[in-house]
Amino acid sequence: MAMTLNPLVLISLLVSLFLARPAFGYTDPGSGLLLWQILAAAAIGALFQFRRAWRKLLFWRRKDGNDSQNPLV
Amino acid sequence: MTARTRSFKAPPQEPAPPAFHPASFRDPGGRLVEWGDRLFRFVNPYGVENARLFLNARSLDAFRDRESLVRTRMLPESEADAVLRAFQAAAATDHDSDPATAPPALILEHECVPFSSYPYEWPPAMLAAAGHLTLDLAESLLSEGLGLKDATPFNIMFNGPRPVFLDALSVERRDPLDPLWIPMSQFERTFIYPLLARKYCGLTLAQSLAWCREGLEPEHISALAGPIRRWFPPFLTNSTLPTLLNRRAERCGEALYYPRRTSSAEQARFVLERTFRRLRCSLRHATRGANPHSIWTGYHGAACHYSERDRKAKRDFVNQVLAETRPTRVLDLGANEGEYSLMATVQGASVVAVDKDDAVAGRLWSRAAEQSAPVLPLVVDLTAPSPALGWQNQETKSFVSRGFGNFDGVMALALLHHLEAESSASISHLVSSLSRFAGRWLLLEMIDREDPVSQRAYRKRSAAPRPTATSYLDPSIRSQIIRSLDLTDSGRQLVLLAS
Repeated sequence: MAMTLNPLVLISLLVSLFLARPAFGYTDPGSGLLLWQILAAAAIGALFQFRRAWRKLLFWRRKDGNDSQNPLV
Repeated sequence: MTARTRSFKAPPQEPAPPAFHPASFRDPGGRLVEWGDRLFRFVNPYGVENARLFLNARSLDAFRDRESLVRTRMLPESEADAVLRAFQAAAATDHDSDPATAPPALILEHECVPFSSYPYEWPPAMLAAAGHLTLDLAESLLSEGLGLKDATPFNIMFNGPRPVFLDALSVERRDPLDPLWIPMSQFERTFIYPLLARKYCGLTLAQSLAWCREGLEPEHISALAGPIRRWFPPFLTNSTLPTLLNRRAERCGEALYYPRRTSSAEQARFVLERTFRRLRCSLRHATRGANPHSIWTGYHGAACHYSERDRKAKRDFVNQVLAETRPTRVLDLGANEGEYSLMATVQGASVVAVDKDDAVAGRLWSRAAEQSAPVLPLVVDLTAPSPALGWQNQETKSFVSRGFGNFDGVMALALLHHLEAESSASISHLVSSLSRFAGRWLLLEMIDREDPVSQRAYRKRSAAPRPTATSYLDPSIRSQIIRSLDLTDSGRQLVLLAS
């Protein structure tokens, strides 16, 4: 049976997703920016780890390839 | 043409006893002390390490070489004692001064910037230049394990067209594993948001930064962007997502502010460099086309209300005044794109060029920066100049208090009829007010009421044209006229007054 989505539910979801909600008083107005920076830093940190792992893998493969071509080995 | 010889008065000198600078109370590391035209920083034990880092960091050498850092020296003990004694003697007699604090551990002396200006008086291109300097400093310091603890344009002033970083206690040692630049939020609010608001919503820097010293909030900028535009770059990542994350951040509570640490210093530096790169991109995007066209751009080039003969006569007259008086400091009011400001720099003057249109001020800044000409363009509406602002109205001085008596010469060319139409003040009142800026002379261009440009200015304000010719000046002001020149084709008159 094909699943259908009620348009009203879809619109409500979109509205709740896209409406910017006001922050409560007594909050640091820069806290959203700080959280955004933390999330961005986590993503960039993950990219760094991925790049490092990728370079290690490349280096290992190159070293392996060079070794196999080395007549002394 | 009338010609009389007068002796010019010397600028007034008012020696003032040493006292804390009223704007210097936020930094726990030390306070600024003004003594006449000298500026000292009393550094307490808490701020000594930061002060030494500022003075000695090798990564700042390049900035020192190109004079992007305020010139600073540490006072030797004998000089420091003399300054401290004078300060304590003045504080003992001044009942309004702050209660005596512990003696400073260190006293620095800073070179003063010739004319103080604030971010809400800059055109957007100057705010962007200040932002780039802040990011360059923060990134350069990373190599020595240092960082900037603040990122506000109020830490920067301009010496001519060159931004100069002033806050000697902002440099600090940082945790090498920390991937976050905590002042990023302040940087977004005080540099990027005002520039985005100027570019996309027409909000001037005076409207956004004069009354919001800490800058705009993400909610403000999202609201200004409108319901559609906020979902697209550059608003999406700069303001909309941080706004949506505000409530989530609130749920994090104190945990949000716990230090974050990466597994290696290399990783932390990689993250920080990407952060600075993203902020630079945002700055560039927010200032692309920062000097747009306005009704006043290209005014000098297309000044069709002057005949070729009048234009040459006007240039020659202004040049002659500058060559004869050799002013060191000139205020050019209604400077437009700075044709006469740049002329004054050729004669050896440093110039503060004021116009209320930020597009022409931005263009002048670009020209002055290209030519390394000592011109400081400012965006100030002379009918409502910048007031004193901040805590107890003492953190930033009003434009008038900074300007009065501070210049050898003042030029107000083709400006009086605009001021007269907008303020409805009499021409004599305007002339005597402007002459208070001038230590020696005031150069005016008077426009007759029949002049079509003058009539247009008055029609715009629904006001009847008033006479602005010298014959309508008060006799006391007329008696100050040194020299005048009639521009016969355009019916205008250039007048040099002693101040």
